[in-house]
Amino acid sequence: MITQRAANIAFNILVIVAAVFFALEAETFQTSGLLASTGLPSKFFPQLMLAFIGLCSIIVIGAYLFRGYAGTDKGASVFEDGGAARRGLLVLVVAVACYLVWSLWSFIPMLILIGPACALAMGVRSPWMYVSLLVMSGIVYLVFTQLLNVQLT
Amino acid sequence: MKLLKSAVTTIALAFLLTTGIGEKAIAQDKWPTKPINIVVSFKAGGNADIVARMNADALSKELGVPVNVLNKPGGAHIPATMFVLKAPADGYTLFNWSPPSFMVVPLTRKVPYKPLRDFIPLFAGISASNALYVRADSPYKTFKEFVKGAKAKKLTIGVNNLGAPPNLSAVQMAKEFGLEFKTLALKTVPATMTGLLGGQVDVAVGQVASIHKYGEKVRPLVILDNDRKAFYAKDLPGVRTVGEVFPGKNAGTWVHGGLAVKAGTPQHIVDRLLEASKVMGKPAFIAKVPKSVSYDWVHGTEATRKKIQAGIDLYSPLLASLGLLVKN
Amino acid sequence: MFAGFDVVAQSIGQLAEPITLALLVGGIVLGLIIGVLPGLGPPIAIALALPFTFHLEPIAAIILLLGIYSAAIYGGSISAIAVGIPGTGAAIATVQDGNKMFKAGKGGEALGLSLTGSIIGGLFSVICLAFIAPILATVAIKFGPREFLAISVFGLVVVVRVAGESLSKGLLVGALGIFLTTWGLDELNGTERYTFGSYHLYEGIPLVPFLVGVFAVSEVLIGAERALQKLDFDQTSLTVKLPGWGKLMKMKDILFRSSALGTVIGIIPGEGAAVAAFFAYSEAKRRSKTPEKFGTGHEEGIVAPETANNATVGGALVPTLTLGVPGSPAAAVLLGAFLIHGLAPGPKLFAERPDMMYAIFIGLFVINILMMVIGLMAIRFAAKLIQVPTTFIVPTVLLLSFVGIFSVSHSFFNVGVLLGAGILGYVVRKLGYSIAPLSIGFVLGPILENSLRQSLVIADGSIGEFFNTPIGLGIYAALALTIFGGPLAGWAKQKMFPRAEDA
Repeated sequence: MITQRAANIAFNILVIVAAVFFALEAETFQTSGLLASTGLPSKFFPQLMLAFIGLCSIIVIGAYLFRGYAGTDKGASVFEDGGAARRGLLVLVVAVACYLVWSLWSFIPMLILIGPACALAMGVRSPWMYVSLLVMSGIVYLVFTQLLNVQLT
Repeated sequence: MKLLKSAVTTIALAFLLTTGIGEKAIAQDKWPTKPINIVVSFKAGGNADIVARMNADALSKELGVPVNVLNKPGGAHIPATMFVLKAPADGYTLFNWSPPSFMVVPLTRKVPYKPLRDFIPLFAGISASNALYVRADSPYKTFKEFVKGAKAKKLTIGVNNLGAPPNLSAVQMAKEFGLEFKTLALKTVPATMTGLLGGQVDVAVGQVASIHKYGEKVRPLVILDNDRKAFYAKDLPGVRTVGEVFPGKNAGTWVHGGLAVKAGTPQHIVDRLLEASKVMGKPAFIAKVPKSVSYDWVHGTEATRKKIQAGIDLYSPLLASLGLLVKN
Repeated sequence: MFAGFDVVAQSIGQLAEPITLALLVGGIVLGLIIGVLPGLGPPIAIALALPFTFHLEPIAAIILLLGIYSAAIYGGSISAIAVGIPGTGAAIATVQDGNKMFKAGKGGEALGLSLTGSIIGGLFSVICLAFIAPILATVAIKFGPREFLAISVFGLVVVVRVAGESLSKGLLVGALGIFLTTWGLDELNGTERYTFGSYHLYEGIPLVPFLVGVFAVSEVLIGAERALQKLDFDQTSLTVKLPGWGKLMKMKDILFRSSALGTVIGIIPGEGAAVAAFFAYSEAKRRSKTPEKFGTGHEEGIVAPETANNATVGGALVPTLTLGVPGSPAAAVLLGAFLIHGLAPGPKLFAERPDMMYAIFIGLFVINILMMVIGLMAIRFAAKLIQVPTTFIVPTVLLLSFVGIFSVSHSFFNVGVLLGAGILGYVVRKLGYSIAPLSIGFVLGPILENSLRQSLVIADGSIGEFFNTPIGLGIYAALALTIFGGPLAGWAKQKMFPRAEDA
């Protein structure tokens, strides 16, 4: 499995690359017109934060490279086992898919899909769970549309 | 099935027409048949939202269907505006227009809509005019003394948001009189007035109606306008406008809000909405509007369009001189 | 000082009407439900109930809305403890210890502690509101950019305290949280920052979808990973246990400090229940003899934030009622309700409507008592949630987060932010970063940046003017004391009583 060490080093390299990108992007900010003086230019604060993030990232990378751990995660891995990784990532895929179904199509298909799809992603076998998830979806729909008077489309 | 339905409708229509009840009845009976939404581009709470909810309540009584308020805040009011424009032009989605969505944002940012082209405004109700306030213990007793004082020393001025009408009023005043201020944006008008009370700022741009809340603790110096509006005498009796104190100097505020429907909405629906919204100009309705909100009633599509155009004519040159005007 | 006994009696009379009481019970139940649901918080709870109050008497209407407000803030902690997802921003600080305790099989106890803390905090702040509101209001109006800057700097220290096991990792995500708040139009000059050409980003990354995403969606994904594991718990955890008198007395310092902190932070306009809860948590941790226990399911880690966040209710009403400036987002909606009913909160309200003011004080008292009873029934039910399989909770919470976010904004963009923030939260949690500093950074970021820049505008180049703020200096002094106080006191002790250590 992926170790915390490798994952953190990779993540922090990504963070540094992103920080550099956003810091350069801040150079392109354009202030049009002058309504009031602002003390510091718009780019100052984001760049300050990015510099700080970069610094922290370097320290974290250093800790993992030379010491091998940060905090208490010595020798730990990111996922407990392959099954855990599969369930977590599959539910993430289901979440994104449900969002797309809802925003591109409409609410009701997403409402029906979300429960069973999540259960499938987690490897649920009991048919009762699928039924109760569908009932749950119905209750949520009724509570929001009837009790809270929210329009869901 | 569909065929059958349309056949029945046709026969019914023919029957109605021949029996002489006529078109009017159809138009009135057919709309509205389901709940109407009023889209508000502000969060719940606050003056604009409150009056929108009062509008919804009044419209619901007139039209006999539920009228819901749909808050769609964020994105510089553009998502709410576009939400209305993406909905069908059937009169079931009304837009609660306001200075940011119909005036300031389209003038200063690139937006995918044109208020006067894409909407049919129904009326303008809620309004505000700005006034300049100092604390009661301030050394400046009159606007003339204030101008003199502000020339001698850089004062701190409080406004709600940068680019909003109170700020634009202040900028215009500063330009006209050659003054320089340190500007603090304090988010809301009440917060601006509180900042004045707490000594955070020397002078605040509040609304004419703000006086009702802060009474003797503040002193109004001048109304930031040229010509007089009816409600000035009610809120700030005896306080003059900039144009009255210094003839020839310009000042102005344009803060109005009301309801509009998407362009292309059938005329009979627009007429029905106009008819139903008449009640919001009646004294009984206006009496219920919170004291801190001014009310400047303009009813009818053309009259409201003229009102909006007047705002564009007021702000365009000012924003252009600040380098903020964007041609959409 | 009392306007007269008859006024008070009249207020009680109005509250004792059966219809008012029935409405209040209904309002508290609605508030609890909304508070429990992720994404729906006190402001939306009040806004939803607003239309129902149009046709009520002003006093009944306001009391109903106050009941919803209090219950919604408390309700957030139920889901924070039982599912690990803060139902509202106010409950973020409760998640760490509350959920750990729940999973460790002490759910009934955790829920009882949070209910008791909430009631005590609520009552404390009502008493402050009733007796010293005008004095507190004079402090509130003194809060300008320089004072807010001092508060934000204090907040940064809180970020350090909740950073987790690795300080550099905690600070990294804390700074990331602050950085993300710089997106959108610059409030001080209208400059577009990181909008990437989309108007949806003009007002930046929306707060509630971001926080719900970071907490709820990440929790859902981590829950999915462990979906098939069985949680160990014994039957005693299913019954709610309220803390006894002895335990309360042991915690009386924490209860008092958190109540006071919550009330004060509630008063400051713009600072909300989330900030108060975090400040109280970090303060309790700092003063604790066993700070290492915080974050592992420690009782004090539940009581401190829960007491503080309900204490903000009374606090937030101080500027709302006496100045017309809302002390929290929920109070802003409440202010609207006052206006609808023809009442103009401001310096004159006390003088013009004494009956209204007394009815509010007494009403808040009654609300807290009713909440105790109704809350007790709600948590009996919540304690049993541990028996519900994770495979059921995962899709339910996901759906509720989606629908909750959508119903506040009617915006798919905001649901997208929810998902994006969820993925971010999942990644950083999996890699061993704490999400507490991320969320507190996101809450404090805008105040920090804007108050710093506006302070510089006021100072206009003068350092003396920059620090010309008695309240701000007081806060900086308190800050210095909390950082250096401990070591300093230890050093002084050693100097003065060199043998004390041996004894």
